[in-house]
Amino acid sequence: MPDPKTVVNKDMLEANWRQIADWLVDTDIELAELSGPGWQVRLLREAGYEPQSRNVPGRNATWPDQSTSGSPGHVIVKGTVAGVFLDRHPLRTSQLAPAGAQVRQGDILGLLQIGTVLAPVMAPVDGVVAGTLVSSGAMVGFGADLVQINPGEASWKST
Amino acid sequence: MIEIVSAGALCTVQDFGRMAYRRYGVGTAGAMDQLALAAGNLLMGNPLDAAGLEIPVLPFAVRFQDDLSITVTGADCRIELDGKPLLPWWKHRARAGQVLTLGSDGCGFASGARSYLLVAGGVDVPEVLGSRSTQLRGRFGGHQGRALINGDLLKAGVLTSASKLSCEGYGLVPPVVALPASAYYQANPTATPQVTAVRVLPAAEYGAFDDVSIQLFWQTDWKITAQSDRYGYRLAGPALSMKTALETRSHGVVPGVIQVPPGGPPIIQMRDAQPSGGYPKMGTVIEADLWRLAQAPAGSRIRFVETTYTGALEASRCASDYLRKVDHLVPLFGALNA
Repeated sequence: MPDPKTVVNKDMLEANWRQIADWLVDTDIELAELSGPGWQVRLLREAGYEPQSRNVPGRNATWPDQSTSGSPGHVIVKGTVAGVFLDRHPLRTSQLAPAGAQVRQGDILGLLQIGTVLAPVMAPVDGVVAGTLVSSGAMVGFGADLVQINPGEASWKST
Repeated sequence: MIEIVSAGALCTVQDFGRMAYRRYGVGTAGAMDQLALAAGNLLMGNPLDAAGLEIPVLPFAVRFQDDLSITVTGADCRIELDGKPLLPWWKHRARAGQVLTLGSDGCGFASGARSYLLVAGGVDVPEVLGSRSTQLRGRFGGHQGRALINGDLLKAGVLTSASKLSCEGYGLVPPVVALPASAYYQANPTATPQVTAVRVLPAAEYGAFDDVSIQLFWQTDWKITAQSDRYGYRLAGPALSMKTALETRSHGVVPGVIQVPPGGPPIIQMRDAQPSGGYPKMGTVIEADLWRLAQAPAGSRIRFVETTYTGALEASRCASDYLRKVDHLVPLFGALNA
């Protein structure tokens, strides 16, 4: 006999999946996956998707900008996915981006472990790493502040 | 095409090996670390058993003549693409003309003993007896039946729909982290580090060894000697002896079997072992731990940890589970970044 709680959750999901999709459109979440015994739903964002449901609570909620928040002159790099933050590759001893390291846009500053997969935390701008804002091994949510960068080379010289 | 710029030594094309011809005396060959090959293939969007390059000696370098998705799994080392450092167990994009170097500036393996270079589409060499693995002893399979040399050109296979869809920029948690030996072996903190613990099932002649030898078998940190390769690992340690000398006929031998020649320390048969042998068998390293053995370098030490049939099946299930999770998550990340 199926677990009644599971059935309820799945039914709720089926009734509301379009609304859930519309909420997700307002975020940077590109993929959401929900699963239970014997079922699985994946919501994958497609370019050009327009919200369909009329009444979407939270539609105007604002998410933190991915790269430009923080005090002036600083860039806070935020998590684009929930996972365990790692400041180094699990096979390596040296930190990917220690404080003081000069980085270029697209360089990998840290990793987010989701199960058996590692996703990169990438530098949105050229600059100098001011420091990591969470400890390695910490579980972080979507949008969490992870690494602070002082953009450009000028701020690197200032003390 | 992939051009071998610096072949190192004993670099071979390997897949899972040819399993169906042992009864004709044909050894299996195949990747020593099959988990690194399989997981890397999943990361590439390849079939699990696509062929890749097994790299046991550094430095090693290739030049890509076309754009290609690549990954380096297995043992970690200094990996560079046109001088830019790369992460291991990570899906990268190599551009036409770029040179991938493993172990530049004389740096050896940081940990482990063999790296695997896998490419989207797999390494396309002709199948012989159902496998692309190099059979070094028989001089067939792989690329012209031999280890690669400088100047060899290898073709990447046709991309599957999965490998076409997925893109680069993410990686895998390596099995050495995801499936830690600490789950079944609590190392003595005062003992030397760098001991690879592998689970072993007692084999047919186990009971014929004397009690002291049986104790020594489990309690010794066996050294992997320099006379160890894809054929077998010759161990150094105390001599093991039998209660009475035993005559055994030649019988089937599989990778992982631990044979004890008269008066000698044990030999573990590996992927290139001949399919039959006659020495008494003390035990068998379980299939799920053969990849750990494959990554234990010569000079390092190994410890045998006794397990049961059920324990061996459970270990296999854990390894399959790891691959299943990888198989499940990789397409999602590939789609995300596309």
